[in-house]
Amino acid sequence: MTDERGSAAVTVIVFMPLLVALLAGVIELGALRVIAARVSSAADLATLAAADDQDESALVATGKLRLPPDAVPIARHFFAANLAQIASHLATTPETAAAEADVIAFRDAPAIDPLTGWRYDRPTVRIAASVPVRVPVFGALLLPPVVTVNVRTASAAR
Amino acid sequence: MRRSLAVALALVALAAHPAAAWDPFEDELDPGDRRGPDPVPLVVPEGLYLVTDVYAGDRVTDDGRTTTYATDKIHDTPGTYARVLDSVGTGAASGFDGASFNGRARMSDGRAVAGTYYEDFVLTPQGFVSVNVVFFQDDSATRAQDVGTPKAPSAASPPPTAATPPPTAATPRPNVDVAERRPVDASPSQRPIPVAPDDRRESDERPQGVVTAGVALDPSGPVLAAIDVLRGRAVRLWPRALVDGQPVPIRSWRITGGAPEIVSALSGSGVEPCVATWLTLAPAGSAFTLRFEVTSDAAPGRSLPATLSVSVRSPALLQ
Repeated sequence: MTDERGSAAVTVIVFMPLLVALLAGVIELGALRVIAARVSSAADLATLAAADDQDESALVATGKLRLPPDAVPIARHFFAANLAQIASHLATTPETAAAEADVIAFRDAPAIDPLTGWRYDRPTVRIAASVPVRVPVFGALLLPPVVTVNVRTASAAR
Repeated sequence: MRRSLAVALALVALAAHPAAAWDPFEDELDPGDRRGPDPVPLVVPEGLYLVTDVYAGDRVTDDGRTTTYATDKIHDTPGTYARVLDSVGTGAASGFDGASFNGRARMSDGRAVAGTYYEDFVLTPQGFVSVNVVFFQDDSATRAQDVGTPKAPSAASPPPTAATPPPTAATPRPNVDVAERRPVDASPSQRPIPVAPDDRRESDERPQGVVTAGVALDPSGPVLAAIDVLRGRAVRLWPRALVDGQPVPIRSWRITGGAPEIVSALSGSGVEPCVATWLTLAPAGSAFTLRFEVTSDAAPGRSLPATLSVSVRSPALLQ
């Protein structure tokens, strides 16, 4: 009765699935954070690209930088193009994610963002998006297989 | 045994030397005499004050009767300092004549205009360092247009005087815009004015109106005092001359100050613009000042100053 040889093997066999599941969950969580950061960067760069454009006629007339009328389509275009780099991780297409994003160009400043309450002292482009990201390991662990990443970002020529 | 022990002790004593220990806290506990030389005492020039209005250019306006010599200023606090060197009246000589970077204009009769010399300083670790001398002109010359038909003064008016008293000394008015100046009073007390022959000839040659210069971003665009530009983006600057607000052809232009990093040319004619690109941002809260001199057939023999304040911006994340 005092012989405990082989008990470690039993313990390992019993807890191995739990350890593997835990390890897989940790790895998937890290991957999700990376994808979320890339979604945020995609939105950041899209607003920067839109803010880097200017309305030439307004500049000639007033000397002030003003966003062009197509600032919102430009922001959506670059948002979709940037999301395409991580399209395999998304639960939707980049174009759909960009089309469903809340993109606003505040051409007149100062302005208050009705969604975020942020105050803009210069013409600003803002993106607020909810991008669904696939997390298959979570699904295998009986967790939701899709996680929504919410991003909000704004850029202006300062 | 004792002998060998004594020999061993002697050998140890002979081989001993001071330990080269290193104290990691030596610098903190005993700084020693490693201090630098005593700082140079800060000498503050007398009369120094913080600059809140920056010289932007000389302005000469002519409404056909009065030629006004004023100075354009931009309300800004660039962090520099200044002091008054000398205030001079019309025609008076100053020991600082020729020392200012913008010179001192002369009237049509050859007299130097009135104004004030300022010396600009920047604060460095070595103290206040003089960087330049600038002359703020503030004067006017009035001539009669209808000498042959003098109007009779009204009974309530004081008797006419012999001449309009010229401004004897310029007073710095840093917060008063030139455009806000009260027009010349046309009361009879100032109407009979002896007209010098030179002045009368000048009034015949010059266009009857205010001649100004400015910079636009389009050949047909409005003149702008300040513009925003994106860093690294080329903009086309069109120096222009205007008479009573109406554009007139310019003969030439040249940049006299504040040239950007990339510029197509430092001078040119009126048919080509100055294509400029700024690559650096101005310090926070400040802007670059670009100065032009414009010549036009509408103002022969005169160089019209034009100033443009340029704020260089770059896209950046806000949140």
